[in-house]
Amino acid sequence: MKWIEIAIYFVFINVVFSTSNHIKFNESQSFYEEMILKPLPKGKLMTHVQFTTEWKSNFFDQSTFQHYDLFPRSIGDLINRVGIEELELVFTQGRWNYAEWGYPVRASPVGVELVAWLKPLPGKDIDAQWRELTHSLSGFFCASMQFLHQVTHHTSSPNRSFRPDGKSNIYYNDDESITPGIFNRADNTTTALQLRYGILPRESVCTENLTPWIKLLPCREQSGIGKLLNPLKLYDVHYHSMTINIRKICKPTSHDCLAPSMEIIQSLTVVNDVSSFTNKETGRIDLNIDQLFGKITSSGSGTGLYSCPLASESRIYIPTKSMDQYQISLIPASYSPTANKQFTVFNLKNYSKSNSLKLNINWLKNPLSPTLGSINAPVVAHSHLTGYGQERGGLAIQIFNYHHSAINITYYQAIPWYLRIYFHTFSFMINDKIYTDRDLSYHYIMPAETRSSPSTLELSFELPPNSVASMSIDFDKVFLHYTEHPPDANRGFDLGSGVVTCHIQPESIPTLHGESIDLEWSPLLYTKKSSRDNTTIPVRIYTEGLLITLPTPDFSMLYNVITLTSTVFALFFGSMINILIRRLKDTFNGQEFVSDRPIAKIYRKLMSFVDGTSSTKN
Amino acid sequence: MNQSHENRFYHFKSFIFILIGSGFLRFILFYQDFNQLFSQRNEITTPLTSFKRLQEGLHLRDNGLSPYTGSVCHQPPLLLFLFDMVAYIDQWCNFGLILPQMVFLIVDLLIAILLRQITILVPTVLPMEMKPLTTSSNLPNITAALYLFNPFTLFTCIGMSTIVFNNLSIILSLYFSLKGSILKSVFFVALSSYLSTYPIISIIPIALILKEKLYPTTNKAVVGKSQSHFGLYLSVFGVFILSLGYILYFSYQLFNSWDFIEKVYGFTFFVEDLTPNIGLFWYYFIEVFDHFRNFFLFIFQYHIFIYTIPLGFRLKGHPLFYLWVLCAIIATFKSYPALGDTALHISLLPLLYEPLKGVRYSFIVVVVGIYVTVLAPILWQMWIYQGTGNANFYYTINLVFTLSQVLLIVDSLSVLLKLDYLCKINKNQGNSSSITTNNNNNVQVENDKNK
Repeated sequence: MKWIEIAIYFVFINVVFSTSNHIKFNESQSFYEEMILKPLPKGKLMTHVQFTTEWKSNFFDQSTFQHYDLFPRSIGDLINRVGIEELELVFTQGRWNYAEWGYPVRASPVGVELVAWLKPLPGKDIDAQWRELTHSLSGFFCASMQFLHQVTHHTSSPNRSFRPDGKSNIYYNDDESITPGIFNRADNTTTALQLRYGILPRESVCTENLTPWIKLLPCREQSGIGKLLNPLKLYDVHYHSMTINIRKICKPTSHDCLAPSMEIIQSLTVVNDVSSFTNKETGRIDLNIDQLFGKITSSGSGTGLYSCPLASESRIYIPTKSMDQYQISLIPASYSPTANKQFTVFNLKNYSKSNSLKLNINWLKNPLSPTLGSINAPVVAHSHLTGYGQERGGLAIQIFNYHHSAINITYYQAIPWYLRIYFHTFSFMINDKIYTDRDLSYHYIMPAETRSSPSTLELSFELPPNSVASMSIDFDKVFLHYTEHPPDANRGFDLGSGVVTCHIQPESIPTLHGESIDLEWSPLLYTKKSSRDNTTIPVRIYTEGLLITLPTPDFSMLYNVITLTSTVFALFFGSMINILIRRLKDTFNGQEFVSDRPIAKIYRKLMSFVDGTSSTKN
Repeated sequence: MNQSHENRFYHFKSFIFILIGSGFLRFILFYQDFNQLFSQRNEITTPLTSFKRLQEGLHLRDNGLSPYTGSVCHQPPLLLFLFDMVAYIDQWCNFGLILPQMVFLIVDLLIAILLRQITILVPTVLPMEMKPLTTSSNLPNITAALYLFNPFTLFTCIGMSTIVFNNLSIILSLYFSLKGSILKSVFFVALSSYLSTYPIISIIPIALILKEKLYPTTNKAVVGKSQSHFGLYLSVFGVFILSLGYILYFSYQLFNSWDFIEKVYGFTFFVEDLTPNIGLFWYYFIEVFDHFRNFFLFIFQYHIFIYTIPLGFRLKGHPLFYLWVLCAIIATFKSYPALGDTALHISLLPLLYEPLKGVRYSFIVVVVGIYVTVLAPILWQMWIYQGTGNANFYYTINLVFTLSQVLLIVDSLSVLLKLDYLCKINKNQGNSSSITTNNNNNVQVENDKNK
């Protein structure tokens, strides 16, 4: 009997579990690495390296986050603990020159940018989650992201400029006014996601940030494309941007994704000035990849490249368009084009340690087609400071549309509280025609709270072809407590970049994303491409970071100010006490002043008792 | 004394000329856009009184936010409401942008008219403070003219500093207390404490003036005074609490939130904004060590209030002088002082010209006043724009300015108390019943001797 009972029980359990697990989850983790090399005008070379770790599993189950293979455990842990739905962390140094270089694969502002879509966790406040996230990331990457929460207060939450990148069970459509949320299949409800955006323009990026970033890679810097990550050379560049993207995606994309997979994309974009490799006679740059990143052995030749053994794919891409423009010639010549012929590909899987790829590129320093600038970047934005002196100033932003069709643009700027913004001075013009706030399709303002939150300005408008939108706003420079100034106070404060989100039809601008979007499986751009046809894709660019000098006190006057001011107070207080308690004596007309205070009476009685003259006069 | 009767005396015609002249001067300055220049000077406008910040508050409200969102607007709701109405009327009548400026002009003229009336009323209500005026006396006109043509007042008016509304309500409460109206005078004290917090202490001198008006000391025996006046003080206190409560509740109704308590009064007390002004707070709290900040904040704010009660005992017989001293202390030691506060207590000085005849340091005070007014903008320019000076330059000027005001207060107080003592001596010597008439003559004599 007992055996039968157990058997029935076992069957029952099986039934329950199989009904609840009607979605089939395949547990797998895979790693991809890729690299894009693209010559830029004036002897520059862009190198974009991208490492993708994909994790297919059942993320509705907590126990998933206890077993790791290729996916970095520290990040997986954080995702589970803080409730990250999507995350972008970017460390950047230098400024991307949009007008000359076109758009980067992933645009970034100066300093550190952190964008997180957080899902509310039971029993936790979103701000607490954000605090935990910033503090954990500071620890991981040896950066000062905890300051997003403490001193500088650069955290804000834009409404429209950022949309989730992934296509998983995140419920949203292209309508920007709808807050993205997670769709719960069980009870047909949507949990709204919370966006937190933080920017630290002052953060300087260095090897201490790179080392922990490399540690997240399965092959580290030991083999594969990771071998190129030589800190000494990576920071001796014009532009350096290191990112981490975490998101959930579905492949193939469908609108009801049941089993999303987690993806972490680590990418590094570097722009080198390689004009020193120019051959003066031919005007061509001749370069070995190993020379570029400096891993040259004692024998004089580089070690060469070969695939990381853990990687499913490992490729080097060179845009076909650049091949023509710069007349690139490659050694070895054993490459193949991609399916749509947009890229030339070296498959590192074909190489090994003994037979490594020693890539040599040779190209014209100056490109053949002369009309580059404006075509490369249809939308360009600049920001400037106006005014003089340390009392007040203004911010002026210009957004240019060089394209032949109108483009929808969303502008977002978070301005720290130490600039007191006067929103009533905001002016907006398109081609010298003044628009009021109400003419804009979207206009959102939130003034700063002293010592706690920044001012935010977000607006959407349609920018006609070949026109310029100019905005300006006035501010006062706030006088800060002496401890609120940074150590080199006279250098000034950094103002973070503004975010310009342009909604561009990729088909209309072939030079735009055509070359980078058509990577065969490039995950970062995969979802953008595979969304509905004929839709616009949001392209994000950033304005320049600005430096603002605030009025400084004299940092050596602390004790002097305290003593001098206190002296004035003491002087007044002393004189007032003197006046208030002084009893004027009638000295000049010879009369004796007789006080009738009780204490004086007692004193007189006492004195007369001592004198022996009993109370004669009182 | 009714209005028509008064109008025939005290050179009423020349007063009209003074009004027109000063109004015209202000109009010209507004027309020449001097308000753009003056409203940005931090000696004239403070975070609490800046018209630009008020506009920002209204702009935020137009955008569907509370005007107190963020840390820009710190004006009380009633002022926002007033200028919202002005903007509405402006839009409706198509007058252009001139209307808000006109409000400041009218307020200034109104204060001048009230000061003239106050000067006429003071000798009748407070014989201890001022000799009776002859009908050909120029003093009422001089008081008004000294207010209207005082550069500090002019700057404040052109700079559109909302401190003028506080000044107006203090002057109104003084006027109505001299008229003997408990309700109105106490209401305006409540209004001024609502507008700028510190004048809450002026309720005591106003109560004393009301007592002098309603129960003049000269006609009453000294004994039994306290019983009969307790009811008056109680009603003054009650009316004050009620009107303050009413104003606060009305403000709450305007924007349907209590945000303004924190943003107006919290902001005043905790000195979050360290923008330089003519006071001592800003540089002190820029420089003070963090862990002492709260202690010194408490001491500095508390300091303004500690003199109220001792001075009340000492200046029982001189409520007008008492009011002036409190105004001067507030103007010197408040957290965000501006020239408008100084202008208020300077405008009350002509009323006290008799006791102040004996002031020893008047020359120094006047010269330092001019020196500071000229030097402060220069040193500011050197620090902020040219970079050839630093914050200490401007701070020093503030220190000197505060010292001169301290000197004025202390000096005039000591003179008054000496005169008071001389009166007492004379009274004891003469033993005469006609104290008031003798009093003034004797004071005059002793005063000259004193010099």
